[in-house]
Amino acid sequence: MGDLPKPDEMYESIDHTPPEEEWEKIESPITPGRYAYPAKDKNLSIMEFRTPGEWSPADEEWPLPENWQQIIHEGFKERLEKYRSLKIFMDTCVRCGACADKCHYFIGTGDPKNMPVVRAELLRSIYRNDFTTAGKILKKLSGGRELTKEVIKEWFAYFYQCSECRRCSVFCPYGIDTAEVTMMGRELLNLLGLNINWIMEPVANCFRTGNHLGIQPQAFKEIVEFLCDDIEEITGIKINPTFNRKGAEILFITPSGDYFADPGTYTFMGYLMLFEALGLDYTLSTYASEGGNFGLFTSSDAMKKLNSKMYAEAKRLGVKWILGGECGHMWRVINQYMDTMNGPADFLEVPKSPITGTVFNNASSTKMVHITEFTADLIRHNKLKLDPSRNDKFKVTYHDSCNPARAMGLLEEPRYVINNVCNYFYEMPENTIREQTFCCGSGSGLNTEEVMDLRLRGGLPRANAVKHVHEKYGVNMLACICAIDRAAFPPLMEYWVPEVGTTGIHELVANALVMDGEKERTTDLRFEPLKEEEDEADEG
Amino acid sequence: MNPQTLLSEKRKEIVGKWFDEVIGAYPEDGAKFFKEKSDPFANPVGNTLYRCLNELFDEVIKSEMDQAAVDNALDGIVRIQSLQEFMPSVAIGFIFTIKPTISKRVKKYREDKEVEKYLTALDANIECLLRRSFDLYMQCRQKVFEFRANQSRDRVRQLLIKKGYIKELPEKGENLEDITT
Repeated sequence: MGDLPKPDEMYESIDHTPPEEEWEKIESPITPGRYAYPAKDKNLSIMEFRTPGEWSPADEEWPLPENWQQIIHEGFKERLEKYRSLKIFMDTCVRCGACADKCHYFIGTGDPKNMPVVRAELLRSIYRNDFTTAGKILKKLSGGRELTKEVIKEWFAYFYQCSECRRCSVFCPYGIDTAEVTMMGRELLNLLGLNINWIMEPVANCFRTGNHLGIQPQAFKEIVEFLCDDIEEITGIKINPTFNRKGAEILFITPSGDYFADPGTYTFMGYLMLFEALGLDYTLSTYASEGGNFGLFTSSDAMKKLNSKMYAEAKRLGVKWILGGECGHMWRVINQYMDTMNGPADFLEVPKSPITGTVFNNASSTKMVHITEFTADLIRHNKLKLDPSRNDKFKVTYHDSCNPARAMGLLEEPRYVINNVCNYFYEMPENTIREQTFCCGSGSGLNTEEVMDLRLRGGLPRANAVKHVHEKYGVNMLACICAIDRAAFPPLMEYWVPEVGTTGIHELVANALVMDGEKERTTDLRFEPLKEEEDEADEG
Repeated sequence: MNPQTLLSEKRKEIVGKWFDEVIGAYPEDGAKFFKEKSDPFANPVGNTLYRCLNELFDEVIKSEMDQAAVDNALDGIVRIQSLQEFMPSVAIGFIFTIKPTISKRVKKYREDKEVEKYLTALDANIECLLRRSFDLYMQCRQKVFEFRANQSRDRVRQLLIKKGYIKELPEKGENLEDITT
């Protein structure tokens, strides 16, 4: 004990001086809590990716193949030729710094390599060195550097500290989509078999079984039936959704998070109740039982394979169009990549609401409509009986889930729906919503427990804005339209603003929805009293 | 000279120095960003650290601190820094950095018995902050471990319940028969 330093001595021993080296020279420690566990071989091999065997990012020596530099070089070259956007993103950055302070991971950590510009520079420096004349001649002077094993480690560390939310790209005057730089970085790492299991397992499960968790068809059906039992208990109405029904007008696809984990399950119940109230001719599919597409976080090949399943099922069942649930990145895949990967979906019809007759021309190529567009249209045409007072115990704010907001511009519809089903809605500050929305901190396959610290500090800017409306207006419910949000927010809120819960919009819709023949509702979808007073009265 | 009034008048200067010390623990570019603290939503870390240091300063110079106010201000700082990969000693070490700044400001009055007495009390206040921040730091870390354990445990638990493979005991007041039939 006598050897312990005194507090003052201990404090003085801490070096507060920022490093003077250039960023390239600053080491990127790969320590537990900073990295997600690597992908297992079985999950890589089913997708025909390289299998590196068992390894850990903490290992000194990583299991790289002998010709790893050649693999990266050729992979990079192939992508530069294939994607003109990548070449533009590599060439055009003038390092103006507009993106630098816009990333939630940088805002939460202060780690310069989390600045989008520097994250892109991790890849760009190799591009300059290997693919530009200036780089070949001037080397370091032109911002190039050689590809070393340390660079690979750095890629792994920082491309898996980006949630591909694209907030930074909103501020880039050249429109550089740094999320696509991350995607390319991850694709290149994937060529070496360096991936994370939280992403590869859902990809493999989705490919083989139909959804992220590997829930088998009969289990999916039983779970949905169980949720229908709950609905019957709450409303007195028995719902019997169909599965894999050929000839249905609409195929409904939603992320599996909506039926295997709370609070997503309440959103799923909300969909079922809405469809029942409308008498919609729809079917669920046990084959396309996943809206999420973790292929987006892996490689374009994996993304294409998983996306094609949804359309193959729509074709097999002979539906007219697809209605999609409250998912985040599914909508980025649909709106930005589906058409060039698997489209156009000519065998389907341009979506038309059978209730209002509205034609969704915005989905004329993908034939897939977002459920908040569909519901907003129903409300607009006065097709739903709603009692918003059933949500009166909730003071709601809305988190623009990154992908629906920035990848498809879905900004007004969710707000329109919320305003019609809730009496108390409050916006978060302007620079934290709509196009400028802050990520939950767990997107793009980072929603795993081993990086909980990273998720909580990355989610700070979002939570901080929620805290503000909680303190100012008494907000106690955070609505969102993304299954990853619904999984990520409960711990994020508990850490930063414990008084605020998480919900999907269609849970709120179903609470307010007055269904023909329903019994008097005494609880919400969570089996909790509709009003706070009833709760207190019960206790009394 | 009342030392509390003296320090209070120098609040902006002292807290500014204290803030610089805290921010100095971050890499250069990060620190530069955190210093731009005016927008609480664009820069929650810098803004929160600065606001909480001000609140802490107001308490620490008092002869009797308001424990709730101290906890609230400390929580704002420690909740952030406990997540930022600092060593625990660094995450709560910011408490000490105010000492030399204050000492400098009251140096010329040190001979005064009253000032000396005040500084001894102030030392006790700072020690109190340190003890409390250690508690808060551990609470925050425990929370993170709890989240990790819960997520790991709950990943498929609800599925097992929904499929009827497992049934938990009823809450007090419910009938066992209700859930077993």
